[in-house]
Amino acid sequence: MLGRARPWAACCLMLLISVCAVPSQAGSFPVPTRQEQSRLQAELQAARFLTHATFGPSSADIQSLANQIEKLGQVPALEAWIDEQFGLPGSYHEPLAKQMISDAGYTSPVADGVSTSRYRDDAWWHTVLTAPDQLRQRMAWALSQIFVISQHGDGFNSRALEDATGEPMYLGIVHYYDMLLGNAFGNYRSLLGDVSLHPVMGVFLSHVNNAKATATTEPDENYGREVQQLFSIGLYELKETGEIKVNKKTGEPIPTYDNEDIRSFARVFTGLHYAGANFGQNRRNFHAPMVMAEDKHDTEAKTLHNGTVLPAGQSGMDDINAALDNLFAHANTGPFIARLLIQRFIKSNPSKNYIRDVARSFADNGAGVRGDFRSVLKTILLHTEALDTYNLRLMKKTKTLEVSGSGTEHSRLQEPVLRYAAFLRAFNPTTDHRQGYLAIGDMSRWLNQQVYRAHHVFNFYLPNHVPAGELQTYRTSRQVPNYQLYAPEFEIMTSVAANRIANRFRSDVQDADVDLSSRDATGSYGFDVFLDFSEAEALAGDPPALLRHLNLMLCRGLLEDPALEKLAVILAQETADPTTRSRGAILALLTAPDCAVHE
Amino acid sequence: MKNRNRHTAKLAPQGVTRRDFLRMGGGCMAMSQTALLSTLVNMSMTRSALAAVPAEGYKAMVCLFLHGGNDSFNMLIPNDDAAYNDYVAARGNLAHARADLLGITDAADGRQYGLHASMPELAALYNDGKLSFVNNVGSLIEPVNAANYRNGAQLPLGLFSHSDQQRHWQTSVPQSRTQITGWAGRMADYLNDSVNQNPVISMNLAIDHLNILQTGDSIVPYVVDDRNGAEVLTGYGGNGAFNRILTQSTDSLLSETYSNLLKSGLAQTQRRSIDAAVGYNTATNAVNLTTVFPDTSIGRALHQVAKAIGAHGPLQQSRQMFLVERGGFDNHDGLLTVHPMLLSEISQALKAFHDALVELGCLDDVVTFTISDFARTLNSNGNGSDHAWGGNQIVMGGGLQGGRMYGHFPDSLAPGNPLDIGRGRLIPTTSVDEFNAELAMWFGVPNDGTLVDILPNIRNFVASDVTAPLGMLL
Repeated sequence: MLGRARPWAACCLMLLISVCAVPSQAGSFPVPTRQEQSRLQAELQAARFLTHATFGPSSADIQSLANQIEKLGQVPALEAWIDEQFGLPGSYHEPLAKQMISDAGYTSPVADGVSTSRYRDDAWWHTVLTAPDQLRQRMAWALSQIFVISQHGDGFNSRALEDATGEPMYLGIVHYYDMLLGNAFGNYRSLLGDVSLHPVMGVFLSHVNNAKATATTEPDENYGREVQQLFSIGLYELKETGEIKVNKKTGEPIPTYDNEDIRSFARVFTGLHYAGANFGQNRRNFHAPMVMAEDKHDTEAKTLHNGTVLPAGQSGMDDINAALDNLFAHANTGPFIARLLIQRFIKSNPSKNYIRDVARSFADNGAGVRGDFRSVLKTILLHTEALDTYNLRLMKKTKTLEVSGSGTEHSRLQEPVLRYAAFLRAFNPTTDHRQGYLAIGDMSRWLNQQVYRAHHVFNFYLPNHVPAGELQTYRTSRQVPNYQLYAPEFEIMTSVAANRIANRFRSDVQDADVDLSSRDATGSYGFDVFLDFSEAEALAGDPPALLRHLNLMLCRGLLEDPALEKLAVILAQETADPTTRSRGAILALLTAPDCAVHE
Repeated sequence: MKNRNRHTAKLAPQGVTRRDFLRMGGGCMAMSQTALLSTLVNMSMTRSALAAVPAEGYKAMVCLFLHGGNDSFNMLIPNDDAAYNDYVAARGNLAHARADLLGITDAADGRQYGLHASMPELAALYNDGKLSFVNNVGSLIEPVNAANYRNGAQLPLGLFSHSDQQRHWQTSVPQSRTQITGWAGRMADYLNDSVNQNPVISMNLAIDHLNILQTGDSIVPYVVDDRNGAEVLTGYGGNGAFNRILTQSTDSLLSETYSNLLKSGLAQTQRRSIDAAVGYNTATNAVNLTTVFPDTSIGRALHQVAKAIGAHGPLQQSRQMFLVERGGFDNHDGLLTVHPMLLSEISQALKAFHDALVELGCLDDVVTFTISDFARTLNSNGNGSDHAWGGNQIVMGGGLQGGRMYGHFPDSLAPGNPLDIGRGRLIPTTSVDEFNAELAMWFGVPNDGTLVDILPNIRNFVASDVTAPLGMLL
């Protein structure tokens, strides 16, 4: 498949534009006046951008950003929004989890009755649903799907205090998540260092207490392999555009590393152990970086990528830093990380131009700094391929604004967790939880996805997952690296999961609340997260207007006219009751393919 | 977009062979022609179903996964005089009194065993030749003994760790932490198209949880709830304005033509999810068993499994592989109080399942087996036991020669016995691969490169001319 040229979509021959945009059928909005047109355009652009950059917009969020877009123009307004986000203090999860436990009346985080998983989940949901630092939260969520750990690790669910720190072991994975939050607007190299030395990663990929070779044992190769395959350079040599380089003679992709490289990196990651313990001692400490036992570190010379040799006799930490520098400097790292991040924020199949531009901003932020996530994020969110694949056209004759996306290559299926969070945030959630938290808890049964619950280091889905069906034989444009389309999120959208997500939405929409239960020191209790559908209900008398409002809120205007018209007829026929009508409309749009797939 | 009400499934009747079968309207040997076909609504079958039942008939596997590490040397206890004394020496305050044991004998070699007092149903099934144990089985890459354990043998990664050992049982690739397919998933990759004519329901069916064991490169397990079966779209087809809007808007949105392939793919998935659940529930709800199952976690799950087995005809599946999971076996504390309750739950549920399979006429077509992370240290930590390695597993049905033992139960459990690598952690003498190979070959996987694809380490244990590695499912 690789290296074999494929015919590309004819449109690319016709259009001399950088983005091959194939407008699909459109959704349309009446805009009788120029003013209304300008306003609606700004609202649609705001809604779509906030879907990329946050856990979903509320009406007020859309209005506020639309004001800025009208005032400053789209790109300057969005850039100002991003800059403002960069300046916000981070909302961290571990302190919140502890606060929740204390608020629930427990005298200690390891008191009898304290659930080891509840507060990790609740702190995550409450934060992503309410915190102002939305972009940081989105970035951490994206990073958590690249630098993957999960709750499935030895000791991660232990309700005991760590000897060295006095912290509860079960919050170790939250400490790891907070480390991602802390690095979200920082530098990739710092993040890679923090990830590599974090004891939670040490357990998850088994390089804690990993000793140099003895007469009968060899170093554990797990981290040595994955830090290359998943966290930095990937399996195959890449061009700056993300295309896989091919050996011209054999037609095969060129591997970035072989088994000798794995052994070298495995030897680099020897000697690390828990802070406050001796090497080999399983005295867990998930809250302080692992430290080096020099006598367990392999001090022989190691050959790394691009001819770099670590000299014999170097200290363990010097070895590790030099090895991470070696990966950081590798030509693959920029395009590799660029593609993974674009997939989490914008689309499943970024074009060669898009990957190249993000990789270049990774290579140099404009001030000579490599690995700057702020520069990377701005490029991802403001790239023409993120913004201009969304088409707003004024039809002067009919005085309507037509909204369309750009088709298969410019789409992604929204992750279940993001779909659900966006749904809740769209309707101003409030709660009668005893301490006022949006304590959503574990939704994995319904969403088939939940923080800390990836089954393995390969995340919830593979970035290269190709679902069965037409996508496998689709002929891509030549803008797509290696002519292959991916749709990772379909890996967890199984024939079981689809109904479960729909049923979750149904239950919440029918009652206008999420029916939940929690527990505090006095026992278990039920509570609700209430959703405010009043804006929609006020429009229920006019089904097309109701649907257009929801189209803006939930679908960025991309619910196509034929679908909308049929839904309007169904609503009008089946009921005149405003509550039922508005809720029926909300539910329909939440599961509509036009809305769940983001173009 | 979909023909939701099309009756396309046609099964090739092979003749009714049992009276029970007619009464039941289902069974393992053949399909009835009318009652079951009439249940085939809403299953958008597209493929020809003429090959639905291959020549070799129907078979199913049921895996009962005991999460946390079943202390299986307190489930099956050696009961010859010397061996029991060694057991007591190893287990100290965790040992069960000899008088409480339910005596059973290995018909092959005459060794005496005691089954835990809370498992009388299993003792009866064993004595009736319907049930057996595979002993001291555990994850291995290659054969390991006391000498090479400390000197050069390739050992599974993360021995004695839950997450690793659970993964090893599921993947059969214990040298890797990054394996993302399970052996039953890879087996289904190989078998599914020839044994499963159902386009929306996988031959791998799981109770309540997605899992690695049943996930292949192209196979994802179909997950059903122990009580309610498949997750239907609530309210779809129901009464009241809200449900009517839901039904009509769903049908309308899913029948739009989408030029965007992600949208059309999602619409297809949603349509299948709705139709598959209705089809599964229609088929399984038509199976009415007189056998009463205990209302326990395992009991409810096996009841659901029995219904799906009874419905394999309308489901158009001539091979089914089920996974039932039960947690709670990580008894570091309170072993002597908690563990007997779990063993009792297993025993009562397996007995009901056995009776249901007899009622369905397919006991010999269904093999049921347990797996568990590991057995536990024979040595006590005070009031419980810790993580160990080799352990004993239950096998029932599939035409096995019961009433005897398979694998090799350790000659002695005494501290310092030749398999003891410390605290009564025992080196397995039968590998998970041999156990899995026995099951896979019984299921129809040839002992050639296919078996090696499914069980990559198998040639370290089983040669290509072997037909039944354990000699159990002949």
